Amino acid sequence: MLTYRVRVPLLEVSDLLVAHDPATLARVPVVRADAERRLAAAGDSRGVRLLRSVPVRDGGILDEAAVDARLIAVHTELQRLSQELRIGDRLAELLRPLIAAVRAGHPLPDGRIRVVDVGCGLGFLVRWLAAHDILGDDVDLIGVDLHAALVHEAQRLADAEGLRCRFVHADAFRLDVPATVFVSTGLLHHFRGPDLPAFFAAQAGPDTAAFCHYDIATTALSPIGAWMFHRARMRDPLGRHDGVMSARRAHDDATLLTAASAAAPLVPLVFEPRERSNPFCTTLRPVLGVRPGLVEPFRAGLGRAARRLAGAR
Amino acid sequence: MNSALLLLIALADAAFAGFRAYAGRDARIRRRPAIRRAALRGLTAGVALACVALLCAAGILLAAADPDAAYRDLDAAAGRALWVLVPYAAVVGAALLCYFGGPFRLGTLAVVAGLGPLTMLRPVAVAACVALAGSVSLPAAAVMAVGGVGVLAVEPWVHRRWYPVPV
Repeated sequence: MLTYRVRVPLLEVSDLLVAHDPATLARVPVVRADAERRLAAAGDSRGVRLLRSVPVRDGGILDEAAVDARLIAVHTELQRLSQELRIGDRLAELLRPLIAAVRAGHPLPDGRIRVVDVGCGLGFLVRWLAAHDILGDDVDLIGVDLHAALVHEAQRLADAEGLRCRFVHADAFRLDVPATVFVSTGLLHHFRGPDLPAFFAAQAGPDTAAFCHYDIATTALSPIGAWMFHRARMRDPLGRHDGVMSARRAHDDATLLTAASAAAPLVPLVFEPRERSNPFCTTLRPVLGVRPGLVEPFRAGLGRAARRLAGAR
Repeated sequence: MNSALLLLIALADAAFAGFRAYAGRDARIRRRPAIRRAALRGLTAGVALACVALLCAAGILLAAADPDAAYRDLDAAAGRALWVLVPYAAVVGAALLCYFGGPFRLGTLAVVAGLGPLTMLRPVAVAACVALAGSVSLPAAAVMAVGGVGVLAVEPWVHRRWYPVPV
């Protein structure tokens, strides 16, 4: 007898806790029973149990204050992973030559280079770059997120340390001032189906010089590695659950390169693709898009590390 | 001698446990003073919990018909625990050296293949120490069990006491 396996979507609980109106970005109430139904349909009984631990108010609507506090706590734990996995150093390795190439070869109407972190969460990347003064005084560091509570917390943290960066509750592709370089970490796997090429296509505007989006590298080891690492380093079961789901949802190099080609004329590249990296040394790797005229200066700036780039020459 | 080395390793572990209790609770970028404070809190908790194990050992020595033989048993049990803990500590030390002293890719390797799995294996290492002490004598196993519970209790204690929510 033939049996058929129906592919069910893998869901992260934290994605279901908050919803926004796409036009106004206003927060929309989330009915816990609706979110539970989605997790149950995905066969995720653990996710359902985790969701039930989130308090509700009248009408079975998730308590926004409790959700915000929980997500800030989870993101704070998640930052520890980013720090241990040296995501700041990894991004800096690419951004330094990229920004140098932009400075030399991309028109900048007001002389400013804006690096925008899409879906910045608590803004670790932006704050790390600011704290280590990596990119220079002509670079504005801006973190953008749809979740107002995370943006508020990111700004509070930046102010507490006197860091030269800012955070905005907005759609990263509809900012008052255009981005020169888009960056992100751990965001790409949230885009499924046609949303992935649409995400890249939104970065193809004339002001964009490049993008550099880090996400979990897909290897046979990554789901078990994610389980082990989240188990060892995160306390909140919601963070542990979503961490493993993230690894299972991550896109492979070919999928990302294909999707990134939607940002033409930017040239799609992958740094440290699976066949050119050690999975124990590269847990996250980026997909990049670079203006054609900046590709060679970027490669030259990378030096020997340019051999780790894959994609169109 | 074995007992002193065991105590030293336990106290170093307590300082690291203090750091782990704090880690993931502070999203600031510059955190050295906070990390030092957390390690100190772990060390303080470790000293307090080590005192419980030392009192337990002292009770056994006082109650023993032959205190010298009882001490030799306890020290021999500590020596067996070191069979596990010295290699464990050596690997942790090497991983930390790679993490702080090496290029960032080596640092990632140290975390992914070393420090992460070793944190998970820590309770197993403690259980192995208790089992090895049990092969020497039951009182030694009891002291090791009290000490082992203390070692494992430092992190949750410090976490609940000082870092229940993000700082």
